Amino acid sequence: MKRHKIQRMIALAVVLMLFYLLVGKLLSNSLHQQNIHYTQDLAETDIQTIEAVYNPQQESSFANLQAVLKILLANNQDINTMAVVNERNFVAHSDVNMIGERITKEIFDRQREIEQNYDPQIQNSNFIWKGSENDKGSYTLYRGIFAGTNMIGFVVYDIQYQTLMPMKANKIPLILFTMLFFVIALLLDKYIKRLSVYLSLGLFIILVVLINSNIAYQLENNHKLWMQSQVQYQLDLQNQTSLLLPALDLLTTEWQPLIRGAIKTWNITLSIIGGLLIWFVLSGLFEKMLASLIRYRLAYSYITPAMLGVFLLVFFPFVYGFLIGFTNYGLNDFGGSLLEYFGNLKNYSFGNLIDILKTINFTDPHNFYYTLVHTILWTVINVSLHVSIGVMLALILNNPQLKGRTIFRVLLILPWAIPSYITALIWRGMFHKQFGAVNGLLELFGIEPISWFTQVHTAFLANLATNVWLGFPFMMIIALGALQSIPRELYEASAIDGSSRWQSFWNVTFPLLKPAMVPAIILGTIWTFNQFNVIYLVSGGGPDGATELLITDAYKIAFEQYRYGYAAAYCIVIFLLLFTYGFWTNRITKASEGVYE
Amino acid sequence: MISSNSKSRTIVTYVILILVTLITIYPVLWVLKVAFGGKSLMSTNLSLIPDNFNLDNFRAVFYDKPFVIWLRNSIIVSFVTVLSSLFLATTAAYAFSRFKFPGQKKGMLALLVTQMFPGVLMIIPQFILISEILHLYGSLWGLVIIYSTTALPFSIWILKGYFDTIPISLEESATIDGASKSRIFWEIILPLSKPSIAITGLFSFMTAWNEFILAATFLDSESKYTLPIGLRQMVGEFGAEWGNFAASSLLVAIPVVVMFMAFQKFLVSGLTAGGVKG
Repeated sequence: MKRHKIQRMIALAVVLMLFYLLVGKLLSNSLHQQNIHYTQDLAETDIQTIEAVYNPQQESSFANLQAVLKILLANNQDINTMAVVNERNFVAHSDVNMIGERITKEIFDRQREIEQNYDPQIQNSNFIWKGSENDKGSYTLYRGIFAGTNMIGFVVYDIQYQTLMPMKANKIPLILFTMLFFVIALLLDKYIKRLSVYLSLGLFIILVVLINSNIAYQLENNHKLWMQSQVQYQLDLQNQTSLLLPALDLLTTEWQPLIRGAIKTWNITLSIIGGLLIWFVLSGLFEKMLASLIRYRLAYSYITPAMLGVFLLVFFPFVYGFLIGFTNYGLNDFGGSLLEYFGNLKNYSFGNLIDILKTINFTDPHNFYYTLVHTILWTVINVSLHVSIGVMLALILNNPQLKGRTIFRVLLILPWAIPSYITALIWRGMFHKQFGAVNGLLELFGIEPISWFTQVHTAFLANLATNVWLGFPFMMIIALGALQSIPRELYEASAIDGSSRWQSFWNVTFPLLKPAMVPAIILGTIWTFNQFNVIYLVSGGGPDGATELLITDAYKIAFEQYRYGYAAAYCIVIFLLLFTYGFWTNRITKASEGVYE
Repeated sequence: MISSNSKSRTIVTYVILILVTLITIYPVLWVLKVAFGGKSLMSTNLSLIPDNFNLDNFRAVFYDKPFVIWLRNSIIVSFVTVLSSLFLATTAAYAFSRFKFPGQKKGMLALLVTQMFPGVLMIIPQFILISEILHLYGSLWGLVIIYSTTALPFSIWILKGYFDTIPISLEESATIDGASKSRIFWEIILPLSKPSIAITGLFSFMTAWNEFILAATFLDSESKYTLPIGLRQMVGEFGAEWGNFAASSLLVAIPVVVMFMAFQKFLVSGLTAGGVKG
């Protein structure tokens, strides 16, 4: 066999091993998430009602125990271990709080009462506690239960372990089996072109099915074993009332569909990933990449940390943001498995985008088109003021005869230097009705104090004043830089030609200022379009969302209404608008290259 | 005729300039007045001299408000951000500047493209990432992670541009003397690029020190607030402690303004020069 084939096989082995480990980890995570979900569902049941139902004096134990379980779960969001002792005692453990503790005690008392009639012989057990140190308080309680119980044997039913174990136990034979298959496929590959690729793809699907049925089998088996012991136990117990048995029953039956559901949702995703992986290895791409990784390892080791960070926290969120925009991901989906939510194609639709864009209403502040018009108006007014004030000041400051140029320059640059959130908050104070300086100024002219943030146009003016103050220094500095590079001789020549000041501005200054100002204006437009701080901190978008920009609107939808999907769709629209704008001006890359936001 | 015309023009120029400058610095002076004016605030008096000069607000900020905690949080976040992003950026920029490897051009381009990504579209996924996967919601470390990575592309570009200007012959002679690549990096390149490192560091610092939206999204308890959120809380929906706010904003803004003024000369020319060269 050729050397490269051996290499390829080793690579495949490593990759597959890692893949299986990952799958196992992901599956167990997924199931764990399901567990949390399930617990949360139960937690939504009204505790008061349950308390009324649960009455230890009554003998209808089944209903009672369902109730106990529910209360226990309701009060212990973090339940992760459930101990089944002799299939008779079921204890959910976690931080036992007031209600939980009381009920656990009641169970304990009741249990002991039963025990006294049953079989008090065995006092000690070889119970191994798998909980954390924090659970010691509840641990004592449980020990009480165990001590008074007839212990034939016990199973620790840990949800995490339960899901991990079948995977752990049966992965290795599966991998070996797969490896064997691949070896054969690779050997045959010499004679039949591409055979290995087809074979492995087919095999992979078989594998997934195998893994799944294996898990299902394990679960079935557990259940069967449990049923057997239950029968045995019932025989033992004869007419004794078992308090905790039905609770376990409930748990097991409720769990099975959940686990199966989890496996089902994984099928497609796993098949796709695995197929790609196998293609990646067998097509030789993996080898090539590995070779260049080894060859340029020094360079890659230098860039990897940074690129990994940028990829995970900048690129990935960007792509992910687009995905979210096509779902209805919201607060209710929080806590569930992310891969499961976003791996499920059923969750995707264009609903959000259609919702945002379908109703056109320019008078309702909560309508997209109203906000869009407001945002465009805001941007145009702001940028034109920034540019005109900035260029005017730059023209004044560019005069070398002007005294105190440096001082003026430093003072005028001040708004740029101050953190923008402080600026915004200062201006919010300046527009305060009672002590704001703006109303003070108006008073000088005999105008009544205005309550700035209760009307749309005054709130807009307040935002505008703030942002103009904030934004003109940038334009001024850019214009000043450009003006300083214009040679004096050009003005002299233009003066000799007899042109007026105005003419020389249009014929000399303007054309030479333009190349510097265009990128600055594009950048300024995007900044102003997305000016979050000013709107959010000065007017807060009020009154009634009328001075909201698209960006603040999106933020509020996400973090005040918790409709992440809808907000992300909003952001997609904003992005597309700005992208079109950038594309249209066709200079956006150059603009964003130089100055960073 | 001409001279009187230009004289009146000069006067007009000065009047405009002084007026604009006054408007520009008035809010700053207003903050000074409020900061040193104690609690007496309820007047629309335009005068910039506090009626009753005292340091009550500063005292209140230090003793009654969790200002010191917020300051500490902000300092932690900013410094860790600067250190981690500088470390990551210098190493990556060095590789991009000096090594030849597959994916070099694509990598730089990818970094440039990130600058076009809209911030708010990223907040939601970043929020999910931080709270659901990393479980760092409400922790300062979540902020540090986001700040240092979002500042990276820009820093890498600037630093790479600067590294490119360092003559390669220096390294060649060091290689002949038997120095390893990493030694060259630490002992030759880094000391030579102090100015560029200083300015990228300053920018990372300002990002972390002034950032508001992410901090408002990721932090939930008062003891974990950074300065922007803390200051906002003073005059937010439920508070109106303008005196305390003014005093704290002076304390927060002065170091930044001083730094900004010190670096302002490099601001446009220094940054774009490096960027264009890359």
